[in-house]
Amino acid sequence: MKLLGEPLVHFLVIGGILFGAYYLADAGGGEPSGEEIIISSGEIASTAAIFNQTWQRAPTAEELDSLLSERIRDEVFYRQGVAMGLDRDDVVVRRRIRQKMEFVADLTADVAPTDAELKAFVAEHPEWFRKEARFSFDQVYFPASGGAMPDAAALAALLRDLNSGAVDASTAGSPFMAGADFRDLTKSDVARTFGEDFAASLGKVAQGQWNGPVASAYGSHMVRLTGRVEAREPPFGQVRKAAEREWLHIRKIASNDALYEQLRSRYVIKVEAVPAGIVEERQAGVTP
Amino acid sequence: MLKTKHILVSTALAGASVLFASPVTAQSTVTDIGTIDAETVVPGKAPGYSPYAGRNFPSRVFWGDTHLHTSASLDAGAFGTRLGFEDAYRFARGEELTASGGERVKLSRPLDFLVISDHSDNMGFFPALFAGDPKMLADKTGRRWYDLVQKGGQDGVKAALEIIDSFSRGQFPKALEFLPGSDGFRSTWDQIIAAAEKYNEPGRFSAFIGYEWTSQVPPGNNLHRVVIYRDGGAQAKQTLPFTTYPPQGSTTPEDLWKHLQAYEDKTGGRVLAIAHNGNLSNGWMFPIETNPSNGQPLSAEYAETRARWEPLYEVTQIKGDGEAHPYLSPNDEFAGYELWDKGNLNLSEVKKPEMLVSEYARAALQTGLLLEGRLGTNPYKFGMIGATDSHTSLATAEEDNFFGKHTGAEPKADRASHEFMRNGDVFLMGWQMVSSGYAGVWASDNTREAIWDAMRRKEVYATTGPRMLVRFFGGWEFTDADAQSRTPAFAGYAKGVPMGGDLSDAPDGKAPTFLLAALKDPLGGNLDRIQVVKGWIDAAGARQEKVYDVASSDGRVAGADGKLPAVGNTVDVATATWANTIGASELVKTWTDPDFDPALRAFYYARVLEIPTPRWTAYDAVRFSVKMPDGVPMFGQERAYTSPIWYTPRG
Repeated sequence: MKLLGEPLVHFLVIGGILFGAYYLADAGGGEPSGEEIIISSGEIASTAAIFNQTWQRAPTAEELDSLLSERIRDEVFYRQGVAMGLDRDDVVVRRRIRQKMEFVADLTADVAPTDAELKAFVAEHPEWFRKEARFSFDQVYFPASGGAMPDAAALAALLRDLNSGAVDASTAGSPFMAGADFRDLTKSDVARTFGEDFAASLGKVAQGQWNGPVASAYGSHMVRLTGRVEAREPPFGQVRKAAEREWLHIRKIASNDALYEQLRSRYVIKVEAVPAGIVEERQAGVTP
Repeated sequence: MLKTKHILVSTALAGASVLFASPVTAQSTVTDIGTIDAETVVPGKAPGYSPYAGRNFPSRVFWGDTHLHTSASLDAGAFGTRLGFEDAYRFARGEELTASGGERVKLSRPLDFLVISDHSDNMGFFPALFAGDPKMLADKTGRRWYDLVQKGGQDGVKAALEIIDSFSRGQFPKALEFLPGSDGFRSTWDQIIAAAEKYNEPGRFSAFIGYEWTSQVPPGNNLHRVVIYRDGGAQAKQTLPFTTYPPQGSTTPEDLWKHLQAYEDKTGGRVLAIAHNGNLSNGWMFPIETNPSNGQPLSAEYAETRARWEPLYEVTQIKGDGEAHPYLSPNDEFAGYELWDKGNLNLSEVKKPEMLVSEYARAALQTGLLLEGRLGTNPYKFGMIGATDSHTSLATAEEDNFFGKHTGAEPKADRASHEFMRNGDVFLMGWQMVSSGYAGVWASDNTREAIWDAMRRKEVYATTGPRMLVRFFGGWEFTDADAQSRTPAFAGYAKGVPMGGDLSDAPDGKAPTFLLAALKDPLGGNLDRIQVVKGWIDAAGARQEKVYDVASSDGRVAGADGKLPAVGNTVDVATATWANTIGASELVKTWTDPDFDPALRAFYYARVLEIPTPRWTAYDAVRFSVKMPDGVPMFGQERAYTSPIWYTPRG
């Protein structure tokens, strides 16, 4: 590390060690336990490096002093606390340590799959990587409320006139904030805009002519499908990144579970009988 | 058409981002902050026939949560949250998974972006054993473990067990030992970055790198900020997040801003910070005279620096809505929404009424105008977003799908009736948790860069959970015809500025005009009304505010008292259902300020109200067959708050 070559750092490291020694020698009015707390030069360097990564500059001598004395204070209380068993029933400590163990398990899952592995994986789960159908369409809107909805005969007439060109779609119906013509939307984008039923209907209408009315979350629409790209399975190159993500995800869960099972098998686990009266009785008629 | 929202969710997996004025195709990912050129958006002025060619304004709202905690946050982990970063992203992207409490859970529709914002304090360090780096591979044991891991399956487990055993016997190979800060080490921050890189998919889903700087000034005054990076991992990992424990960190916002500046200087990256829960700061969030961190009068530098780093405020979330308080806004009948106003964050100090003016967004926007007059810069010139602040890895904000503040408050029969927290005589009940909120962002594309730029220029709005579409433009020339146009956004951008923008240079004799439009959430309640909230400082230096009902449903008109009649209520609490038989699916209107004084600074923002719909407590009561305690609200009017448009007199 470049940092370690700096004279200032050398100075600080030595100062820090001396400070640490002084602190320890002077600490405690009782008998020294003889147990050493060593703040290694590597640790001092890394403390300074973390400061540097936070602040984009090296710590001053006072700042490093302060960091190290905090570190020593931590260590003294930590050791004493652990000796007293204060870590044993602390849910935060337990959770943190469990997280670190799970992280070790995650690391063992974090590898680079080969293309062959991923291709096989994609072949096993084609539906995960399929490209959605895409639609282009125009729409004429009739709000559900406000009395602007024509009756069936008027709608039939409008449909005929739209298809014959006697009526211009850009002046028919009501303005719609989401727009009148849409290009190249995925089916799920259509569903997000108009609702799932509308998106399903759009998948069924004939291309090129006006159809309707089609119901949406907002009212009714005449629609003209102007383009459609069917759902398809894209080339491997386009899904490689997604496939790797999913492949790793599955592997990670499996390796985490497997490690847990292995570690658990090292223990004999005994759960004593549940004492009477400590479990809440569910009331009749309560539906989960 | 009486339907429960529950049924709607299952039958109509629908609509986050709706399109505004039509076609959306792949657009450039390059955006420029705050420089939407009116010339290029006017139909007919485009170079060719198509009005859409060359258009460069945002045509789409992207929905997201800017504030979510995972198991990496110590408090979330302690409450039992087991879901991590990857689960959080997968859930936001629309996947179904099992919550830490055991329930299966899925969003009604995916989000478009997510900021995982775990607390920067207590981010741990982990050994990087299997980065495949040459040093490790050169060691015989390291090589063996590496090979086992590569084989996977039971061999991987074998490697993990050997590693664990060697650790516990103190026989870990010297060559693989590590120290924090050395290159053999990985921090939680590296993991956060790696997960964001993995799930970021430009065009489909934006996974932002971010964290929460959790400054809590004793005894417990909330000054928290979420920090959001525009950048990818290569830049973000060059620095570590800012923490609050001295000397490494600090609880003073000025030190956070220095840290952000150092990041930008070093990496050329971009970051912004979003404060939240002024309601739990006991008067510290938006100071008026004195900077609470040093006891000195607020300075010009404070104002400039805060305005530079904090363009947005998180106005609504699980721990209370912070738009307006009835004590400050006695004439606003909708000001009392989902308040948490008992005390500070840990309830160690009770709330005093005089604190409120430095806590709520509307008052802070007024204070900003005051301070701009005094200091030259408005430190509180913020846009508004909503976020969840969930500690469950689950970004849920919908009333019928609310998974609570933390894992202990995930759905179960008694979560509403249990105490949520207590300090002495001051307490909050479980039912007071707020199922809120999300951020709507008008951006040109779903990329980190486009969405971050929209946040920076404040073209964003807050909702308490529903995904209604809201447009808000200010200018001098808007007419009724613009509101009736098929494409109001063209007029909006051509003749004015969008939400988050500025007006100045009032033409003689003219008052500002506004173009407002709202479309209901396709899964949500109809719209009751659109309001404009105006705030200003009068000639005598006093705070003023007025709420105007601009557009409303069902042909209602104001009564003799000037008040618009209530929209009504179709909620059936017994079944947790409502009907969209009242209200409007869409409201569009042009509005002119009737009380304009060109000499006075002012701000305007839009508030959109839905008709009443069931609150999460009503869904809990039905689904668990429990009776809620008396006084628990069972329905409410969900809402959106846009970023303001500011008027500044010339000179």
